[in-house]
Amino acid sequence: MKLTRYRVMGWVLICAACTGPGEAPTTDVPGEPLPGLTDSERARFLLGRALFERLATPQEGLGPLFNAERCSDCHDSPAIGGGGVRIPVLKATRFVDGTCSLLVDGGGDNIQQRATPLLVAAGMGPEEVPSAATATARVVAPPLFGLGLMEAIPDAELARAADPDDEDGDGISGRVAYMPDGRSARFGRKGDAVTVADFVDTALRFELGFTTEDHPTEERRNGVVLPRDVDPMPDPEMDAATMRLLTDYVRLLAPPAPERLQKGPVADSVRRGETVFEQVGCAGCHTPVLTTGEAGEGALAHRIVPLYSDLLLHDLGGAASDVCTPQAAPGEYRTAPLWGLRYRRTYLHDGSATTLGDAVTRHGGEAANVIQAFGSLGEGDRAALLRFLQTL
Amino acid sequence: MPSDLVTVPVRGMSRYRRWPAWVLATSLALAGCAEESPLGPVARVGDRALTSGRLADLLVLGQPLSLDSGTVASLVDHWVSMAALAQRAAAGDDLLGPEAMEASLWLERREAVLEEERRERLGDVATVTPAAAAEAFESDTLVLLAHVLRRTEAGTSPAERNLQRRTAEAILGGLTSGGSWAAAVAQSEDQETRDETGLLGLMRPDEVPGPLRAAATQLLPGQVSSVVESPAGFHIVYRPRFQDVAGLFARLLSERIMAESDTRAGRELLDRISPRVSPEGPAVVRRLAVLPVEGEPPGVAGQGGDDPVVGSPVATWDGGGLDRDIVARYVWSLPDPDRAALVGAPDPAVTAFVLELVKREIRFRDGARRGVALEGEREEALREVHREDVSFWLGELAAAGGEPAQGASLDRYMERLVARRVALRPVPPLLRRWLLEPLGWRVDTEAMLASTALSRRLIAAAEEIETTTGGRP
Repeated sequence: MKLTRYRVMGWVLICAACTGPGEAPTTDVPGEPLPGLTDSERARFLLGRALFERLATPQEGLGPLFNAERCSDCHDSPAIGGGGVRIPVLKATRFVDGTCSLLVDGGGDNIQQRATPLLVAAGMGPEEVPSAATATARVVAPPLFGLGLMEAIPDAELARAADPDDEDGDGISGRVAYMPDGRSARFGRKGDAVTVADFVDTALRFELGFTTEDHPTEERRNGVVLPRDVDPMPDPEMDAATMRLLTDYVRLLAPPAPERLQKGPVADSVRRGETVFEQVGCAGCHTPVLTTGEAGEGALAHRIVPLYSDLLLHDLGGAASDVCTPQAAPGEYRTAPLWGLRYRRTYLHDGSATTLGDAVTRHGGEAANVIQAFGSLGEGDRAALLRFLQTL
Repeated sequence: MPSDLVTVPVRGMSRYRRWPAWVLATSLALAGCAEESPLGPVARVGDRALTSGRLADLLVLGQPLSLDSGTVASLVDHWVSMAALAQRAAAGDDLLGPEAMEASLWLERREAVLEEERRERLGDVATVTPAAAAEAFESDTLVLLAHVLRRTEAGTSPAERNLQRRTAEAILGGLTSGGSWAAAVAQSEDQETRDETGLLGLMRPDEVPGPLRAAATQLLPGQVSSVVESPAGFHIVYRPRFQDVAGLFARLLSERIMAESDTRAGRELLDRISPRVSPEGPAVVRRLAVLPVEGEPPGVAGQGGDDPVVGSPVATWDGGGLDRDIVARYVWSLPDPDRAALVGAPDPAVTAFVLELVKREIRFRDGARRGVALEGEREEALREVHREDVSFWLGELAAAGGEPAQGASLDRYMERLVARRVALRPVPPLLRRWLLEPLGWRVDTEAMLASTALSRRLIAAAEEIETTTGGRP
């Protein structure tokens, strides 16, 4: 069942008397915690945010290879915890004969573009793209709003929406991204992180150069082990308690509420746009809502999640191809959530689309039929659809 | 050995512009002395309010920010200033106009004129030749010292203290292996000296702060000390070589000689004119010192006859008097801790403060009679300081989230300030008063205490989850 935002409201009202999902926990101001947190959860959110904004130094574990000195250097638009385009991350992978290599022997797929003074003094600079790479990409930092809600969506809900063999014949064949250990991954633009904690751990290691309790070994520079004396902080550089605070901050970030419109022609146009969104098939992948299941925090449990994504991998065609992961071929991407779209100034994973229209038409592969339908829309419907997207 | 200590002009009279946010002195511990209550906002300026909940959030967000009353009050004080600035800017008031400029620069202009007057009056007294400077340096009676500090506090955890010690040792290692002093100072956490190559000043050995004295006085020119611990943290002290700081040394020596000479002349002046401090003088000064903390500025909210700015001079002498508005401006220009100290000071100490102002007032009037005035270049430099400050504050508000007119912008600015632990740039007190004048404002100290108590409970609750469930509720 596909639910649009307006239909969801009706559903919520109908279910108010039963034990169905609670309303979508969004906030009008981006960067705020989820509504309804307990005092202790709110405090953990704030303490985690302090860490998120803290400028790290090499003495505390930054580097020796890194991309940014604090989380908020990349995640600050339109508020702390959002996305950002200022520091694109350089990725490089090898994809040959249907097999993806993250070039681990060459230093991994994340090409760290900065080095601490001690590393430079030791004669080693930032990483370079390994010669074995077959593709590179510069990806922008995704907004982190609502990740805790996304985490709380049961695996079964994702599996239910998946149609890997396109059995319904609609040309869309989303599949769950499974990690080698069998767990489903819903985070990351290629579906390569299972939990928010994984996501945070990865960012800390690759973007800031911190070692963690789960990954206590320092990154190598293009595969070369770093000299011991270039890293003053013993490993692991970030303890588990600090990691949990950071993770809780990210988990408890609320998704932004859609634009609230007064009754009138604009609201009518947006409503029309929402209908068009469904009619042309956008909602085939950008599922308007999913629901969460059990969760540790009441604010996350049994909630409607208006994320506009099925969190599945889809093939977007050759034109969108760049790097790969073991889960996703070069042209495959996890459906990007559209909530908070109105705060973004550039679109797509690499920030290369500067208008929503451009972002839409650059979808291919499984989206080919949808894009064809989009192309044949009248001017009014097209404008209404784009205006609807700008309310998210 | 480091050799790149550069000469940086010391802006002694602009101390308040560069206070580190979290090192404001205080002694009142609040632990357990306040309970949350359904109080109104902690502060209100015009149509903006800082609620107890919002302040508590800021205090948690700023951890490990000290939760002492002085720190919390300085944070609230800054919110008040910035709320006023945002609203005045949004209302289209000219923050660069003559009124704002006068309020912002009153103290600095006056001090600059006094400095010029002193230089003119004392003439060649303090001329220091290169040979005299070299001789003074060699004699070791005065030593020029700089330092790097990795800061700790009484409540710093052993792990953090250990990390700071190791960091200081790493900095020292960098220096002894040929690293530059500038690079070492860049890692200093003493923000007041960091921008001035770590310079502590020119001092006699007995003037060196206690814990540093033994290490500092044994240093030969060009040497750095080992890591020295003091209540402020871990220091590395550096005594530069004469050839690297000859000009700076001569200037500081000259300033010291001039200050000593001026002090003597000041005593003679007071002996000569025998000023009389009025019986109510100390009480007036104390009330002026209290006002900025308690909320309502004079002339607002019907203070009328109780206004301590209105009334007879605080001190008189033959042919002159020290008007209350001059005293008020000086008092309000004091840093918060000094102003707080004035509130509780005994009469003789307050009287001494008044006599110091008398001396300045007489010198200022003498200077005016002699035609001493600010040079155009100096005047323009001061104006530029104000323009740069205003541009900085508005820029920070905008960077935090949109136009200053938007309330969210102020919220975001404060969040960034505490979370990033950057040194705030305080609004000069007299400019602050000018900004607040048409708006009406109020600070509720009880709500501030309740807010601090709430933040303590929030932090404790977060820590309890960590200890009992490994971070999972």
